[in-house]
Amino acid sequence: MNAPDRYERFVVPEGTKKVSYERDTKIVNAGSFTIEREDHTIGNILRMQLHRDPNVLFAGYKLPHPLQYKIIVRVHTANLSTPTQAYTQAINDLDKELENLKKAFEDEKIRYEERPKQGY
Amino acid sequence: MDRPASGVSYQRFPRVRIRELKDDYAKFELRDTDASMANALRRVMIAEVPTVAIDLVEIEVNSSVLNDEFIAHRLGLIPLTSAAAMNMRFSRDCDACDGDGSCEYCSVEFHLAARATDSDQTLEVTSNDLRSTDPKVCPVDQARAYQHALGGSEPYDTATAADQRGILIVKLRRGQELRLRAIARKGIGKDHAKWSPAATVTFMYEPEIRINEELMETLTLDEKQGLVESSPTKVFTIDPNTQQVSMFFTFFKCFGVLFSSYYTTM
Repeated sequence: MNAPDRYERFVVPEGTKKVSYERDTKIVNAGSFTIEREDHTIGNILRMQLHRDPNVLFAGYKLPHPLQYKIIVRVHTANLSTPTQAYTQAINDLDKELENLKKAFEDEKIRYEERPKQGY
Repeated sequence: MDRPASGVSYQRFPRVRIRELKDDYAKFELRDTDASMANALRRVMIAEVPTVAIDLVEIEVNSSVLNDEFIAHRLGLIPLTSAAAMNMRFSRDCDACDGDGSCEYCSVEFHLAARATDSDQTLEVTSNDLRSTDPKVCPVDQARAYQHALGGSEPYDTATAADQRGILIVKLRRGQELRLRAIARKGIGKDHAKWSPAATVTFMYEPEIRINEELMETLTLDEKQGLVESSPTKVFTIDPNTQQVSMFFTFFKCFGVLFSSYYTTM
């Protein structure tokens, strides 16, 4: 009766922004990004990438409720960069890494298919 | 959003090595990346790769023993060849049709008409009876049988005569009839499991096993053979000439191994 529709899990409704940012008023260089209609697939990858940045002091994500389809990523950084900069860097790096992965897989597939059938 | 600060990139360079690649099964190794990447790949393969499946069924006549929604549910679960799915639009995004989501850009129409003749035999209505308006999108076993008949792909060892008949939808007795029109649309597994292309996707870390050669030397041949035979799956092998125990496969020092098996996209 109260369950949301299945397509709510990935369809961003009109007027809602996909990503929004809230600065933390009490801690310097800290903030939360709210990403609508995403789940652990993006959250975990983003969190692990943020951990690779030595300037990031804290990076974590959570789903506030399993029936609310959004994630909140919280980032604290040291003085060298702001959370927004760290987040943007992480997203760009993930983008490039996934392109590399796609290319590596396509090249490997071509190499695999061109291997002679008998005796390689 | 601000520009990234230092310009230092922390990206990784993943490497892939394919171990097996068949029509419906693939096994490959993934190195130099994180488990979160492998898990994300797994989650996306199950839930977010678009496919085509029957989504709307208009039943004209149904006098079978199964009720309408039962048959519609079964029709939805029939796997359809979805190579064309990437070129199709989602019907909610489609602006070419009148909003009913059944134009040529976002949907494929199927027809099924079956009537049990007056013989005493039960008529089995299968996926082979589903007639598609677009030849690129049809039930997977129909496409497989077609390929096999053309002599193209290798014959499946597991395909028996029973599998050639197609996926069973409903059985009809003498006098019962089923006539319907079905519309297949593009969707993703997150919406409904019928759109998931994957049967199973798993990944695991492959263990790195090193044999302590010094201690191995202290064992007699019988003890070595006992060791080799004791493992339920063959991990070790013993060279009869040198009496050296070694690994059955060569295990590479690798970060993770991704196994996946998924339905054909033909």
